[in-house]
Amino acid sequence: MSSITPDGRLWEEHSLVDPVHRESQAIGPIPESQLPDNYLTNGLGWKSWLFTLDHKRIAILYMISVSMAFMVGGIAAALVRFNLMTPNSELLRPQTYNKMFSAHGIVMVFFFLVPVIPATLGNFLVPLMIGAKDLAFPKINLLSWYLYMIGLIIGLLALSFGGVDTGWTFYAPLSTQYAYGNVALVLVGAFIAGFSSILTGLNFVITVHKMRAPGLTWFRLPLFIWSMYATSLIIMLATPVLAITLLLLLMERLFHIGIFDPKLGGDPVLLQHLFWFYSHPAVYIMVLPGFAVISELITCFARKPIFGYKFVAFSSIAIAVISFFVWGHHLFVAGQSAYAGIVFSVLSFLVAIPSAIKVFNWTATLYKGSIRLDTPMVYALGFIVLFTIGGLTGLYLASLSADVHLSDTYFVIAHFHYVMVGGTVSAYLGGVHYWWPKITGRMYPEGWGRTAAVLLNLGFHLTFMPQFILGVNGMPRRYATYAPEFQPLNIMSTAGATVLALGYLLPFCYLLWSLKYGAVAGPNPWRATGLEWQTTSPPPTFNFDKVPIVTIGPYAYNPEDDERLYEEEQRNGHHPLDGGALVQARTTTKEAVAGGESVG
Amino acid sequence: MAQGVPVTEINEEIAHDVHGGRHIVPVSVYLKVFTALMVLLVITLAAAAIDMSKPPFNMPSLNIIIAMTIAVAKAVLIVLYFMEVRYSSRITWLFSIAGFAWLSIMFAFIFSDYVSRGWLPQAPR
Amino acid sequence: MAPTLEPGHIVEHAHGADHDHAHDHDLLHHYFDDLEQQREAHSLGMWSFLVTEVMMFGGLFFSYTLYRGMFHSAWVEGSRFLNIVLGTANTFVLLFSSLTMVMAVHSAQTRKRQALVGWLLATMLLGTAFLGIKAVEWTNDYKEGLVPVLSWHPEEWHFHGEPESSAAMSPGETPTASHVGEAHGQAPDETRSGVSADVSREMAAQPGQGEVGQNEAQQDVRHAPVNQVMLYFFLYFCMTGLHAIHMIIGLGVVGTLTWMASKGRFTSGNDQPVEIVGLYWHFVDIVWVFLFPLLYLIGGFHPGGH
Repeated sequence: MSSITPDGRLWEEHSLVDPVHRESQAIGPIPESQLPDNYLTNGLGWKSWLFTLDHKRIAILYMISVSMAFMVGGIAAALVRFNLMTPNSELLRPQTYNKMFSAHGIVMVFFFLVPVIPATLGNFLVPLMIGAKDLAFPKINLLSWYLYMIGLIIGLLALSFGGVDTGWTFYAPLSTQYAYGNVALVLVGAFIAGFSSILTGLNFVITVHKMRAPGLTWFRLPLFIWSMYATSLIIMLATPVLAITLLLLLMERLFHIGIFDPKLGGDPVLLQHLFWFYSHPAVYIMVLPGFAVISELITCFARKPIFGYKFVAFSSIAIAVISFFVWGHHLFVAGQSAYAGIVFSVLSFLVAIPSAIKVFNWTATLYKGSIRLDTPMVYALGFIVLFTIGGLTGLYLASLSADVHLSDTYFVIAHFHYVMVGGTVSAYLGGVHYWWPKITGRMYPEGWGRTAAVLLNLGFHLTFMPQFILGVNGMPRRYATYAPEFQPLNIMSTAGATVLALGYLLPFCYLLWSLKYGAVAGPNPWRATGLEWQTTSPPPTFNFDKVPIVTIGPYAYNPEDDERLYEEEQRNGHHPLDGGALVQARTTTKEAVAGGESVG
Repeated sequence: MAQGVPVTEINEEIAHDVHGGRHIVPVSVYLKVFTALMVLLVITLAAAAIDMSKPPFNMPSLNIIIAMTIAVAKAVLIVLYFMEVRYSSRITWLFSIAGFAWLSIMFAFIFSDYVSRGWLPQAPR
Repeated sequence: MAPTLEPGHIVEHAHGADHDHAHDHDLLHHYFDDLEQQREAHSLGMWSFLVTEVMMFGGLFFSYTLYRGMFHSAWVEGSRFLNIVLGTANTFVLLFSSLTMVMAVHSAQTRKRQALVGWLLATMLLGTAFLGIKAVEWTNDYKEGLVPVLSWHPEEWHFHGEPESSAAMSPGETPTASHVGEAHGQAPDETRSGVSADVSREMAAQPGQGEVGQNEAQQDVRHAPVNQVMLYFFLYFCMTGLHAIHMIIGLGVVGTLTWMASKGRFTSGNDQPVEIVGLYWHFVDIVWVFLFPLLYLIGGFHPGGH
């Protein structure tokens, strides 16, 4: 491991952290004896949650609301998918069908995919991973959740009563003149949710810059932080443009000045430019946090340091930067100049480079690793496959000539679902499983976890692989009906969606179950490195009892040692490094599941 | 930051110089900058009064170029002295430039579309 | 973003911190190690916020620039309805308020409470004056029928600037009530006077030639189609409106600061809130520095105005 991978000496030390006493009675008004055990028990009433400034509690608030949004968007998707089982379905009227796919897109993009990982796992983990007590602006963090909720409620109300049939892109002049329903209200909802996202991003940037623990240099940061930082940069630079675009669109919808109306001199392509100046970087807002999670999972369950740390770290920044130069590939057939199209096409290919660096480095990390197929790892491996397919099909859409044929077909749908759902949602679920013991202090049933992960992957491929073929064969997106020859593939897709839905519903059930009946997790059930595992599970309100001092880089795993220790663990019944407590927690989970008993 | 965030040694030094020393800008600097801003305001008006599209200039876009140059100069003065970026750490420099730099990306790339739309000969309709 | 006390904060005696004021620990949020870290984080927080603000205004500035290139004659015509005297006055007022703001920051840094309150009050006064002048301008626009949707009466427009304007206005070129209807999109009609969408596209496609064409168009500003002038005024009100909203927020925050300053909150070592609000105030000022030449000075210096 030369200069690319930091610190070969990582392997010499088993502990990442030197806990150091500071010469202080770290005590405010609360006497030490009355300090609550952890952040969950520190205040129990609803007020202690709704007015909390604790980043971990805000993460939980976000987790609940984002899951609600996912349910709503999922139901809309299910209706759309069932409607497409037959060429001329009468399940939904065409008008309702349009409203359904619009609701699905709007809810999933603005209220689920954008906040999902940053606002939940990111909120929870960023301060923990950098050894801080909280984010730099806790009040702004809470404000961002309230803004999200206001946006979500406005959006959901508008979509429930009246709905919109514009699709999530709000293209003019459809959205400004011809669309039915509450376009204006939905715009307001998305506008407000945008500010929530901006505040989260801003908070992360400042936190990462200014609140790292002593000794935690930039190149000792976990890759999770690097990706989250890159995400936050995109949020800060792109989301405000969405805000002003939606505002202009709102004015146009309400007053019809003509700014996007060619009849009155405006240019509808301007809207598309401004919209995609946000929305293309926004797909990296959605998927970069997925990369963040995967880097943590792969290293932990391959028991190896990441291959090429600096490459992976800088590829996140590179993706963030390049993402701003490629939006024109959404406008290839929209009347954009052919020359601009060529430039955007070439630049779009560029973004494949840092993305591929990540995938190659993850697979290289697996090489000669001591791989454990725990649930998070199943999600992570699934992610690599799904994201690779999604990414590679993106190249077809980035190439100008192919896109003319594939534009607005199911090929596009399949492509971005592979990236957004196969990528982001897999990573999110993998991350939730990985950090669930840290967040709740409980283990989930491992068998159910793996089952759900496998189901999800199977269901996903069955749902979206046929859509690639449908798209190439020319089935257009956004229509309630289609030519009869497309029916077999559509039936496959709907069948897959059913399996996929099961794959999403299962974790909901057993994760909730584990809150009460799951085995008690120790501070570090995965024997992972990283500061978040150095504190108790669940963490105390201010995260660390002592300020951690970091002396080495992340991912201090050693696969050979791990194999030896694993064998010892098998022989002795407990892991030599943790005195048995952690393994006990893990084995009792398995027993509990096998015997249907509850522990703790 | 007691233990500090040693991004680089240099960064630490700057940060210390700025905040440890608590740089206080003398009032005379503020007054000078304000005077300069006033002068620039007068120049803006004077330049606008001349129609550069007519002889002897014959450059229709010169008016807007001058106006924008002066506006940028004003903005730079305000950012450097009133917002004290001149006396701030490198990271503040970076943040103060970032927004404008990114905005120029947006301008450049969207305009690349509008500017080149006429380049390709149109097929007769 | 002003640091306030929270219950349950933990005071860390971080080694190396050399702030020896007894009250420092009251200013320190529990989640920061020391005041310097807190100070840098807060300052950087405002700068990040300003980055997002630049991008937000940027979308409007881009729309403005694009349509200015497309419809230069309409922009010239629209601009001539604005009152340069009032616009200049407002520029002066706002630049002056930036000076009073830095003086306030200076007073806080040098711990002069009276001066701080005075300068903050002066800043508020100037900010209010700016909004007052803006309100006068908007009222005039409303009376003259220049506000899209609310009060849009091209048939009542009085042209300013060139003395021969009334002579040059022939009935056919004067915007009429029927145009107003079109401009609102209620009666779309391809045959209306003015440039069709296609033509405007081509103008945009050839900016080099467009420049020259615009120059020619300047000779006869009355030919700008009403709907394009409406676009100008729409963007004018969007930009000045968004700017005014920022001014109002700024006034609210500075007002709060003044009240807190009068209680001595910022003159005993904790001057940062003043500094941070100052950053915001200067940013709003900078926006106006760009808005003024872009909106008011397009058609040359035309002191007529309203």
